[in-house]
Formats: sequence, structure tokens, C-alpha cells
Amino acid sequence: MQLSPAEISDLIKKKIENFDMGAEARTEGTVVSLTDGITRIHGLSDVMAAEMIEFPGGVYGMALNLERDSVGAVILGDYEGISEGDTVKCTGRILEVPVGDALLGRVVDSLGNPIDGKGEIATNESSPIEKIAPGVIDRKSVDQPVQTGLKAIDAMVPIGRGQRELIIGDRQTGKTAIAIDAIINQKGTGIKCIYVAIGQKASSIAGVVRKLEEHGAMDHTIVVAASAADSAAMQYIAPYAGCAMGEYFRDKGEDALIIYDDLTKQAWAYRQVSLLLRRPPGREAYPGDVFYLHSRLLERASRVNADYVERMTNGKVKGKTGSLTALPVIETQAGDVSAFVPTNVISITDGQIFLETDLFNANIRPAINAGLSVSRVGGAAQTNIMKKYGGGVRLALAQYRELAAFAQFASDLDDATRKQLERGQRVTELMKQAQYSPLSVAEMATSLFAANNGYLDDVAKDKVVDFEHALLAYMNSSRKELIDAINAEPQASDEVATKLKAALDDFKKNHSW
Amino acid sequence: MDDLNTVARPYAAAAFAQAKEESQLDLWSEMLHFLADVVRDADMQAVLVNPKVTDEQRLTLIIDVAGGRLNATATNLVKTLGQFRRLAALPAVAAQFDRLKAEAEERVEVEVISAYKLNAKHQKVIEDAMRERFKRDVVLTNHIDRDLLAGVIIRAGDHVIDISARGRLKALTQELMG
Ligand SMILES: Nc1ncnc2c1ncn2[C@@H]1O[C@H](COP(=O)(O)OP(=O)(O)OP(=O)(O)O)[C@@H](O)[C@H]1O
Ligand SMILES: [Mg+2]
Repeated sequence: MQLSPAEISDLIKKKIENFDMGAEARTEGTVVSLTDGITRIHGLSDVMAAEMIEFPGGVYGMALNLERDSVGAVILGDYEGISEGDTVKCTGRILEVPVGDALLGRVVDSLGNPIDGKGEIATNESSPIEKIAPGVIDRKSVDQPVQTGLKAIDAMVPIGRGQRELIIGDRQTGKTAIAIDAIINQKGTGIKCIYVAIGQKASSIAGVVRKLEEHGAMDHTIVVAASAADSAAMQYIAPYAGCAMGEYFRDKGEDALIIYDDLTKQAWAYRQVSLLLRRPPGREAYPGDVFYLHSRLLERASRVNADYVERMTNGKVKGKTGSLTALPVIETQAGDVSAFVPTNVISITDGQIFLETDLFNANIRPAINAGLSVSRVGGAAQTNIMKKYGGGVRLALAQYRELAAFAQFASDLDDATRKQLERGQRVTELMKQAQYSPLSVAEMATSLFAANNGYLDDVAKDKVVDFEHALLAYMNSSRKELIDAINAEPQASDEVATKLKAALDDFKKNHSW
Repeated sequence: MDDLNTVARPYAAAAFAQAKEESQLDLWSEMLHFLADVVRDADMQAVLVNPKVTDEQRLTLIIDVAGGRLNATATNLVKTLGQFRRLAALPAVAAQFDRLKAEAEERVEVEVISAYKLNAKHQKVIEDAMRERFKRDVVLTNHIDRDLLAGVIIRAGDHVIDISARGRLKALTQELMG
């Protein structure tokens, strides 16, 4: 965009007119030492904890350690220009980030500055990154679903609006893939998404953004990126910044979904900051407050009642509940869930989706371990039809895995066991799903219905995936009204069952796969 | 720097208590500042960090230099500092002593930096405003800094009120660039 000199001077004039010339009284301090993005400052007698402080050249920092003779602070951004003896000013403000609808479709850093080259973000609202989570009175129980579009999750570990469901697994087990599919599936549902990338390679983040754009999911998504190249401080605050952006939607009676990918790296960044601030290290060298680091963040994901929304919007929005659903990601080392940070986050969240390398390598993707994955509150939010048809899946899979292990030693199996094994194998196959291909509720229901009612029993094991593909293609072309009807009202009525039965019979008789 | 401040705190408090007991606040302030100047001296700094010089020699040197300016109790303070190898903290002790003294006298030192020398009327306006703000007697000093272009910067301890043209131009630059 080229501006003429006249336009530029107009712009400047406007800025100057709006410029607040008031005399500010603030306390100052001096940089005493500066190491690895951490600085010690002498003075600043009035500084508050977590207050934004200003360095020369418009660089900001956050005061973290308030000590008797000095203040320990992290620098947010470039610290190359700062040197010992520089003057530091208090700002009297807690760190804030811009919030609002204008952020949708944008990629921003931990401070909410755009980094996608698409120009300024047109919003004048902002919100502190650290806020107290809504209290008990303000909450409402979780009873509406967030559809991820992944059969395995929506059937076995359903997620409700306002729930915190952990995605946990070793590296390269498809954690990010689940999160991205969940975002893509929110297209057209009104659920706004925030993807917070922490400590990832910048190329991976770019890849995610590209995929979201390809699938038309950026329009309802904000990406907050603190890549591995950003300072530890930026990685530490990124989830809080993203959360503030999500709370904006929750507080005005909308639904939002936030993904923290991943909190392990955030804990590392926080450990680094804490050690450099000379806070005493504890278990695994983490500081004493890593539990609180994650608990206060995840508590902010919640479903709030209409009164709360009305109060937050000053009565503008009435009779609407809001929600912020969180999908934190944790990376484990060799499947060890008893390490410090994984146990913490498992205990904070309302369930976990446990991904396994063995399953992933056996080409069972998403590599969800049915036995160890749970959702503690999502059941109440599951759609009727998914609950009815998907109810048996978890049990069938968990039993199958156990039986399969035994069956390896047995030469002749009784009929019932063999049948259970065969059913298990087919359900396992059926739970496989490619990336970027979320399914609607009706599609999932059809697949599950087929499995439950023995339509898969005579399908060869390695043909199950093809069978499902062909079946869904058939349903979407020949039985469109039924699919639409189920999506409109996902109830497992007798009528729906009869229609599905008819469709499946027709398909098996007249079609190949 | 912050370490020395921490080290200096108990010594400053002790010196202040002693000075009050002797009712010699001004004298003590003078003595401590003199000692601070001695310690800050470049040659003295070299002696202080030279490992070949014994603690004994260092102490004797300082007391000799200070000569008759120290009273008996102040000499003892220097000896104690020497004994614990904290002579380098003397400037910090002096500064903290002054702060305690100002606090006790309900007085605040205000430094006004201006582009041009303040006239009596302006000085009075600032003094009154500061007295109101800090609820303390104001001791005002005026320094000239042409770089401010116009206006003043008022400084009292950590508190800074910047109403200079330079400060505003800087803020404006940042606003336009950020
Ligand atoms: N359902 C799936 N079907 C096929 N391939 C998949 C599926 N899910 C993930 N993958 C592939 O597996 C690889 C790892 O996935 P992903 O990046 O999501 O894992 P991750 O656990 O987030 O890895 P990291 O630990 O590096 O963050 C990717 O190449 C992805 O394309
Ligand atoms: Mg990943």
C-alpha cells in the first residue's frame, strides 16, 4: 500500500492529536545487570508484581522478582539494545494484549503484535494476560459438545464446551494433528479457535498456519506464536496471552476453543526464567510454582453462566452462556506419564487423550490408547446418537487389546473369544482416520452403527477402511436427507435406526468397496 | 551494586542510631560522605583490591587519610567495616544514612532539572506541589540541562516527573513508531 506524502502527514497529525500529553509521575530505576534476557534493576520502588516496565527504545519487560534492593525482570523482545545503566520506567499497568474479533485470521506474537505481514490489527480493546478464573458461582456445568470430527475422540473421549482435555504423548505421535483437525472441524459452528504454539520450530508453525488456510479454518482462528527462536519470557507468557484472547469470546457469551501446543515447552521456558532469576529449583529443577503455572492457566478455561456474561457485557448480552474449552498438549519422554509436569497437568485437566508411539507405528492413527484415555465430564455433553452408538467402542477396544495379548499364546480359541477378537480388530480399523478429514456427527454415527450391528463382520480386516470410505460416499450421495436429518437432530431414535439399517442393507447388497 | 546496598543496610542503621544518640546527625553525614569520597578515590580503589595489602594496612591508611575528621565512634565504625572487609560499602552506607536522616527530618530532596535557571516564582510552585505530594519539607536543588529544550524534570528518589519538551518529544516519537 503506497501512501502519498499528504496522507502520511495526515496520519501523523491524527496521531499527534490523540497523543496524551499529560505529565506522568512514575518511578524510575537503573539496569544493574543483564543476563540472558533477565535483568536486575535498582530502584523502581513502586513497581507491582507482573507490572510492565519500559526500557529505552520502546522495549518492555515484566517485573517478576520484587526484592529488597532490586527488582528482577524479564525483557519481552529484543534485549540487544539494552545495557547496564539504562533507565527503566514503571508503567503502572499489568501486561496486556489486544483482544477482539479483529484478531481472527491473524498470526500474532505473545504480546499480540501481528507477525503475518498483514498490517495493523484494528482493535482498541485489550485485556490483561493474567486474570483470575471465574468463581464457582459464575460457572455452569458442561453440557454441550465440542465436535472434533475425529471418530475415536467423539465416540470414546467426548469433549464438552468449557472442558479441559489433555492431549498427551511422546514426540511425533500425532498430538498436533488432533488439535488441528479439531480446529478445522469448528468451521461454521461459531466456535472461535486459538492455537498457541510454544517453543516449536518456526517452520512447523508456518506449516500449521498453511494447513489451516488451506482448509479455510483461519477465518475463525487466532494463532499465537512463540517459536523456539523467541526468548524464554515470550514462550512463558504465550499461553496467558492466548487465554486472554479466548476469554474475550467466552465473556461475551460465545464459545471458544484454545490449544496450548505444548505446555511442556512452556514449563521449560519458565524453568529457565526462574533459574536465571535465581529462584530455588525443586523437582527436576522446576521452581516451586510450576503446578500453579498450569493450574491458574487451565482454570480459566470454563463454561460461564448467563448472569456472568450479562455482567461482563454490562447487560448487552442476555441469556447466553459462554465457554472456553482448552486442549493443552503435553509431550512425554518414552511414555512416562509420571514425570513432574505430565502428572501435574493430568491432575488439573478433566481427562486425557493418550497417544502411543507403538500404535502410531502400527499405523493405527490417531494413535489413541483406548484404555488410558478418559474424559471425566464430556459424557454429559455428548450428543445422544454418539453416546448410544459409540458407547460400546471404548470397552470393545480395551477388552480387545487385552485379549489380543493373551490370544498370541493360545492355539485354539473358543468361539466367543474369537468373535470378540475379530470385532475388536475391525473396530480398531474403523477408528483409524486420516488427517484433515473431520467427519460430521451423522457420518460418525453411520460408521459406528455399522460396526455395532455386525455389518463389518464379513468385511475383510484390511478392507474396513475402504468399506467405510465407500459407505460414507454412498451415504453422502444417495442418502443425503438422512445424513442432514441426523446432523440437524442427533437423536438415536428407532426411526433413525430403521433408516440406517435400510441404507446399510442397500449399500452392502448393491455396492462394492 | 545491589549487593553493596544489602551489605550497607545494617551499618547505615547502626551509624544512624549512634548519630542520633550523639545528636550529631549533620556531623555524621559529613563524616560518612568524606569516607565515601576517600573510598571512591581511584588510588584508594587500587589499594582496596590489592591482595598484597593487609587488612591492617588498609585500615590504617583510611584512618590516616581521614585524620582528625572522624570522631571516636566513627573511627570504630570504620574499624568494624575493615574487620569484616566491607570498606567498599562505605559509599552505600553514606547514601543510606542520608535517606534515613531525611526520613527522620521529614524532609525530601527534590532535584529539578530545567533547561533554564528557575526563577523564584517557579521554584516556589514546584516546592509547594512537591510538599503537597510527599507531605514532607522540600529541599530543592536546581540543575541546568539545555538538552531539555524547555520544561523540567523533577526527581525525588525513584520518583520522576518528566514534563520536559525532550521527554515529550521522545514519547511522541515512540507513539508514532510503535
Ligand atoms: N491421523 C493421521 N494419519 C496419518 N498421518 C498422521 C495422522 N496424524 C498425524 N500424522 C502424521 O504424523 C506426523 C506427526 O504428527 P504431529 O506433528 O501431529 O505429531 P506431534 O506429536 O505433534 O509431533 P511433535 O512431537 O513433533 O510435536 C506428521 O507427519 C503427521 O502428518
Ligand atoms: Mg506437535
